[in-house]
Amino acid sequence: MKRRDTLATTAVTLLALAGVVLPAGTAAAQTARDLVGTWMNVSNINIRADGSRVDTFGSNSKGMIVFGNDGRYSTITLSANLPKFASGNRNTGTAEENKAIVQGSIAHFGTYSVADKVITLKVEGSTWPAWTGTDQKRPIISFTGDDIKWGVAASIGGTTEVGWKRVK
Amino acid sequence: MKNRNVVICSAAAVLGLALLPGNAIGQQKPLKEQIVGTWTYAVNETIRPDGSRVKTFGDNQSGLVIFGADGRYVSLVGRSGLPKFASNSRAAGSPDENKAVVQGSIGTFGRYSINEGDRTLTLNIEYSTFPNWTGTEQKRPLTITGDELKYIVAAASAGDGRAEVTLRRAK
Repeated sequence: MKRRDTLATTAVTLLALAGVVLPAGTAAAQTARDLVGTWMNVSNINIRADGSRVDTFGSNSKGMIVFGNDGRYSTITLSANLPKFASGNRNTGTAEENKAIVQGSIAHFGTYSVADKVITLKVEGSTWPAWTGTDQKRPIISFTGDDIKWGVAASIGGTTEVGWKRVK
Repeated sequence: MKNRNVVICSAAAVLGLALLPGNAIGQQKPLKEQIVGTWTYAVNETIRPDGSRVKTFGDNQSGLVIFGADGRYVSLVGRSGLPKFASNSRAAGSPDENKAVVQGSIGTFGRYSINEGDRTLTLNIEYSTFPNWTGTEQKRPLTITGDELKYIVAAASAGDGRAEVTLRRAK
C-alpha cells in the first residue's frame, strides 16, 4: 500500500513537472517582451472564401517588422518585383506603376501589446488607409521563440496567415 | 588667502563635476549609440533647385522609424488622412486612390550604419515602396542634438531637389 502511494505521489509529481515543462515547450507568446526584436517575413498566405490559398505578394515577397522594447512597431511587406518608376519620381507614376505599388505592398506603424495569445496593433499610420487609427488583432497561430505565425483579416479580403522568422 | 583659493578651487571643481557629466556624456556618446531607438517624423521638406521649399507630405504628416541596436531599420512616413478605398480592398483601388497612397507615403527597410568621422548615416535600402530606391545605398549627412535628429536626402523621391528631414525621439 505504502509503495503504491509513493508511486502515485511520484506520478503526480512527474505530471506536475511535465505541466511546468510543457508550456515552455510550446512557447506561447505571452507578453510583448517575447516579440521584441527584428523579424523577417517568410510567408503571406491569403485564404479565400472558397478555401483556395494564394501568396498575397506573389512568390517572391519580402518584409520586416521591428517590435521595439518601447512598445512601438513598424513594418513593411511587399513584392520583391515592384517595377521602378520610369520617371524616377514618386509623384509622377503612371496609373499602372501606382497600382503595382499599392497592390504589391503594405506598411504600417504604431504601438503593440499582447494578451491572451493575440497581438493588438494600434495602427497610427498605414499605406492601407483603412487600418489607420484602428486596433488590428493578430491571433497567434504558432510561436517557437524564433518563428511566429499569426492570422490577419486581410486587406484584400479573406484571411491571411503571416509567418516571420527572428533575425539573429 | 591661500585657504580662500583652495575653497574657491574646490567649489569650482564641485560645480564642474556637477555640471559636466550630463553635457559631456551627451556630446561624447557616439552617433551610433544615440540613433538607436524609435523616432517620429517631424519635418519633411523637399528643396527644389530654385530654392523653393515644399512640404513633402503636406501640412499633416505622420511617420515612424525604428533604428535597431542590431543595425536594421524600418521607416514609414506619409500624409495623415490618406483616403480609404471605396472598395475596401487593397487589390481594387481606383487610379486616384492608388495615386494618393503612392504620392502620399514612402516606406523603406534594410540596414544602416554610421560614420562617426564625417557624421553620416548610410542606409542600405533592401526594399522600398518606392522601388527606385530598392537595393540602393544612400549616404545622408546627420546631426543629432538631444532628441532631434536631422539628415539630408541628396536626391528626393518626390522629384528634383534634395529633402531635409527632422526626426524627434519618440517618448
